[in-house]
Amino acid sequence: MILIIETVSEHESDIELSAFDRVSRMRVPRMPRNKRKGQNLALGQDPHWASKKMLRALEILKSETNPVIVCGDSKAAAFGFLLAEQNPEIPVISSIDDARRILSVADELGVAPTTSNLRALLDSSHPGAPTMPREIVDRESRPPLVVSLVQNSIIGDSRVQKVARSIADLGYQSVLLGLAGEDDPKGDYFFIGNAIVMRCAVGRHRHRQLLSNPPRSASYPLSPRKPQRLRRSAESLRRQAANGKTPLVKAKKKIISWRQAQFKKNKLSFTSIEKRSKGHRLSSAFKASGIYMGDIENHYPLILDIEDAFAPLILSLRPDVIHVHDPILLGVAFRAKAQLEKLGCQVRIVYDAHEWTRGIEHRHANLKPVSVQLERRYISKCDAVITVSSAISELLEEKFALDERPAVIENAPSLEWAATTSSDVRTTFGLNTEVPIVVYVGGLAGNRRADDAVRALVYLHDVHLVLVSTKSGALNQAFQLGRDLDVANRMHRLDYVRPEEVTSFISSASVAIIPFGGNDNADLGGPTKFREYLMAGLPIVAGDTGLTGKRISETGVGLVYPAGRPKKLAAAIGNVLDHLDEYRAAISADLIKQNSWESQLPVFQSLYARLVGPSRGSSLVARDVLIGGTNSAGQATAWARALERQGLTSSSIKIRSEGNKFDFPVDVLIPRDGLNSTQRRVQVTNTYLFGNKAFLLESLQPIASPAPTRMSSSVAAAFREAKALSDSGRQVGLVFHGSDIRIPSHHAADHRWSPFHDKESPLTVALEKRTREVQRHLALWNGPVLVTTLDLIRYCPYAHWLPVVVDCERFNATNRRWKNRKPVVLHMPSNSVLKGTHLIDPILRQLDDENLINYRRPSFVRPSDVAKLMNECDIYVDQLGMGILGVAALEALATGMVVVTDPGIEASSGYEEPLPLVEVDPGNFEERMRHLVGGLEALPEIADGARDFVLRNHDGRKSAEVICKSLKL
Amino acid sequence: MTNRHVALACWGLPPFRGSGVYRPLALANGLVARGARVTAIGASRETFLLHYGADPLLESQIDPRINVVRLPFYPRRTWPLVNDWPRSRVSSPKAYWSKPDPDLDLFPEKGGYANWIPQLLRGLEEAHAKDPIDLILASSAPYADAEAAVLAGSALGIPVILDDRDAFIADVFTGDNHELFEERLPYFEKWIRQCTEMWFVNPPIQKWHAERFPAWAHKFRVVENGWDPGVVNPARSHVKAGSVNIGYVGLLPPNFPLDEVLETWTEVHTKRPDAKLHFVGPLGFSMRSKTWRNAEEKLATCSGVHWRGHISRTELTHIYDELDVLLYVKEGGSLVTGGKAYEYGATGLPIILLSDPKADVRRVLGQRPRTYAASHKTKESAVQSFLDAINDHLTDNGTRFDEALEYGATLERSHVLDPVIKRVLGMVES
Repeated sequence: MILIIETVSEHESDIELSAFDRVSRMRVPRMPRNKRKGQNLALGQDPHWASKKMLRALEILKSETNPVIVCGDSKAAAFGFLLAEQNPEIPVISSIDDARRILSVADELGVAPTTSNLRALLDSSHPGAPTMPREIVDRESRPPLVVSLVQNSIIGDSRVQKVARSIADLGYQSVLLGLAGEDDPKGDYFFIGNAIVMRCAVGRHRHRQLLSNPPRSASYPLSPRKPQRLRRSAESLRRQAANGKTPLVKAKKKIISWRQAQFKKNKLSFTSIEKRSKGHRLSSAFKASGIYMGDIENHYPLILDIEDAFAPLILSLRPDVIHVHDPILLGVAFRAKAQLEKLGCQVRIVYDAHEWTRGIEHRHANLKPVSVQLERRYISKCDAVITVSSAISELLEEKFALDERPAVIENAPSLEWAATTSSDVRTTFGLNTEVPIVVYVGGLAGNRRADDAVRALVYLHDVHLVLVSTKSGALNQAFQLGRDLDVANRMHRLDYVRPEEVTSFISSASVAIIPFGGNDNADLGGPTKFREYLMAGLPIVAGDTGLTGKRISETGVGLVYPAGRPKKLAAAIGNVLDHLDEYRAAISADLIKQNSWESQLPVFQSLYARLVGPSRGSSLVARDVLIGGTNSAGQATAWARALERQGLTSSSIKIRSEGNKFDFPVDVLIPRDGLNSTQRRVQVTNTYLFGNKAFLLESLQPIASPAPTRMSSSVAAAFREAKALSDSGRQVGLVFHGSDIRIPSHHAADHRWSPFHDKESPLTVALEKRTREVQRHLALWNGPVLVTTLDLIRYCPYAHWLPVVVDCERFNATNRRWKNRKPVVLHMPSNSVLKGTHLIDPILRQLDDENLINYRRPSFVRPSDVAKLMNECDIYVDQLGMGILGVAALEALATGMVVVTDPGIEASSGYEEPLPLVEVDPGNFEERMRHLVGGLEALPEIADGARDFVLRNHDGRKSAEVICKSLKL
Repeated sequence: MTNRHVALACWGLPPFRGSGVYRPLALANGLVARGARVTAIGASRETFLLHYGADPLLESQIDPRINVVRLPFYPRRTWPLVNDWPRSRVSSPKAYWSKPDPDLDLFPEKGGYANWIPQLLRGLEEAHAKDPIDLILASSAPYADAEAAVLAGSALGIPVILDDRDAFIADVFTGDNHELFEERLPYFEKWIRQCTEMWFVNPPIQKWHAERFPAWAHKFRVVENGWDPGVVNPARSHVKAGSVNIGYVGLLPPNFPLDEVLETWTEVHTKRPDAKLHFVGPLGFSMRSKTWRNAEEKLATCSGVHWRGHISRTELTHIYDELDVLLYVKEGGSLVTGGKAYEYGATGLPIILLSDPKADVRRVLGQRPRTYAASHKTKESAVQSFLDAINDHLTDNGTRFDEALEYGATLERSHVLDPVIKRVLGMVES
């Protein structure tokens, strides 16, 4: 079938094509345009664009044999291109005219019109477009993807991190969306295990608008305080003004100040729990009630702000499951689901109730009613509900009449991921082992009664209190109280500790406390810290309310006290300190295991298996090392093979930019311009990055970079990626090849013949800018840095030399014959400006004219042809002015050529052996060349030992050794 | 007789229907006829069938003894498979087309011919491996042929003759340097250094080069064009009664002085209302162009003018049969001859020759009987040459026709090529 796609239906030329096959026509949309900028959007950037048409077209084409797509007009090419990306074997012909000619020739020759056949027909030497690997494009061929949504900045929320990581460990793909942190408001990303965390920039303008002008509470005019007095006074003044007694200006001023006071009071009532007015409380209760039918999300517009950031990402990712961690994001998830279902994607929604929503008060007066209302509206529509404790599970089931009781996945620290830290609570504060330490980990707001603990210190002499908690008003208040009670010298504070390091950090304390009381939610949930303390091996003293108290009594790992009574708390702590060993003995390994995150995983696994089918195990191909980014001079692949010879598994990857003509062999080739959506970058990260233990990243060029925001430059993006991989516990090394790190101005200062003396030239300017940026980032990098030539160590003094690898089998000297003939001289610069061609070319031409040499200077050589070309030539002139010994010169040495170059002093001294080549500089180049050509019989002697030199240093053994050492393999 | 192996490196072999196909065809046929083994390496048939336009009948004119090697080629910028397009071309076509062709960095010739160089180079190497080549003859344009031939020649140690024809570095219309002169000069210098001979189509072009490269002037030679038998039929009956049919045959190039010609014609037509002016051929290179539409409009509104559109070359004989007087108009200075001049010369018909007085075409046709030359810039003399030519046609009793035919016979391509081929083969022998 011939499918003509067109953006306008004015062409009637399909008659010409009907001679070949049945013709069908389809009207398709034009390229999406950014109306503001007046430019076309990048193709694929808008996941919605033409998706329905695309589905229809794919449906039509599925049942046809050898369909051909023809663009009826040039604007239809965009649609055709996206179709071709889904089905690379269906040819898309750019115009009806071309189609007529091509199909008639294909018809004549009896060739089936598939893309590869037509490509061969047009020009069999055409390499074809580098195609995106199938698993990147196709939603079907990847494991199910779970997108988790949370409305905080993730760091500090251990549950969402653990959930995301566990989902990835179960063999699904896991992406966690959160809000940008204060440190990087533009948004960033990082990896937790094999989960990708994206923190999105959220423009909070609607949220701020409401906060700066909160709704008026009905009760404030009735308040007995200052506003009332002011109002009376203002009204009396206005009456007087009306009678002409007081100047109007005075009355107006009074009224304004009255209104200002009202406003301030109202705002305070709206944004603080303690100052909340009756009116706001009533209004909240009304909004939370079942009779409220309004559009609830408008009352907490942060949801809408978040949706602006999340919705495009969710649509782009096309997840199989949306895991919602906050009730206020349920609406966002369900709207995304509705959109995705229109695109033919089935989506399941899991609601993870972290708390008993009705039990917590928030500073924002509307947050609670909105949460309650949204939970009520959506919970029964969710495909699964999970929660943190059986108490909440029961409540949820009862309250919302759910079909089944929500699965319970308790908050617990992970045994597997627990990391040891070098410092602990004692060393950090310089307390010796005799000093008893009481530790508290977690937030202090609300009913978490830190002041009880401070007051208890009064009764506990010598005991120190450590609060591991983020900065907050409550923490400051606690310290103020400590100063008032004169115990502040025994109080210590520490900011955030990474969740997996908490247990190790606090394990040297004596006792841990949970001084909660009267908080519905904390009591229902059973806080994470209980299990963290257990895992740290610390006896626990806790308030007697709720679940925690019950558990302590049952297990005997500590004591409970009547909540809210500091003296009793002190007594309990004293008691535990006196019998520390007994309590510690009660903390058995079994108890720890029962209370670990791992013990919950089977619940999790069965839940997800029910929703999206059992995980197919990990889809990741586990490898030791991934090398790449650019595969410059084919070295990434060469190193990978060298590592394999040492028994390691390794692969190379190249992100090919458009117009790149050097196609060296590589294991994975991905066209960069196709990585234009978050979904694809996530796929690349999941498929090619996560399986590896260690990485060698080339030239600070990003590989996948699944950034939620556009990075300022590719260097910044690559650095972010390297950091994300490194922070997630993988070994990452950076490798540089030359121009990517060599600062032109430094080179010019050191080298008389440097090509960078012209500071104005565009190349110098561009390189200077980029290398400076690279250097700025390198200053922040703690991992290993490798360079491929010895001279580059000057630009990064702590870098190690990673020798390049020469394929000595391909570059061999078997055919080399030193005939008594005119020598053939080869000069083959990859970049003629950098390699000093302007200094070399005239002299070699002159020698050629004098019939002394046969000069060969090919304009472009395919990498695969280089070895053959070198075998035909005798002398290789590499470069002048740079002072490097690069890959091409070494390859020439391996073929036994006489190499003439300027290797630089670093290479001359760094190899610890004499270099088997002719060292020249632009000053003596002509003289040396004439001398060489004059004494032809000396050539074999010069080249003698060249191949052995390469075999000794560049056969890959040394390189593999360097890589293993730097990446600790 | 010789048994030497000559490789003809020529992208545009039949069935290519462009004007550049006849010269290499005649060269190859001539070489084979003299006993040389010839391997002609050119672009595949599909290249012309699918993109440049083909005249399948022309293929039969290739001597069957010639070993024809066809290599795939299709210009990358006009590649019709959207599957292989770079993404940027699809998402922002304007930006893609406004950027210069990246292939120009590889070789300074527009049209994506840079990719032809490695193809041809490999073709020559393979041909040489099968049967050692004694001489490479590269026929431009495209000049990528010359570059590949020179590269192959220096790699394999084979002498190379370059047929530079319309000049790589000169703008023949203005007589100045070519617009890409700077980029092309290094290549040209390499070529003249490495080739054995370099041929041009007329003496002025040779002189132009010799003045600029005196050191290499000894390598420069003129190999003129000529007419090919079969295209014109000189033995036709020469006198016809009735109206006078004046004809312009061939493509109207974009710089064709249509306004001046039509103005002259209007005046001629008022004096000789029985005469008709025919334009036979396309009105430019693209039917969609504005020039084409403008020309079409002008021709339609001018009285006594008929436009007949594109005619296959195989039908040209009939066209010349129907015409009584030929009109030859050529823009450009002294470097321009134009292949049509030889063909016109062969017909024996009166020719109205409107050109720059210094143009090289005057050298070819100026001495011929029945040629009425004038500059199209001076209207009076142009009108006069029209009237003279018409008068000549009406008063000729056959003698002038025969004289003109006799002169035309000297312009046949074989007259020029035979000595050249002999010399080339002699060179290879030695």
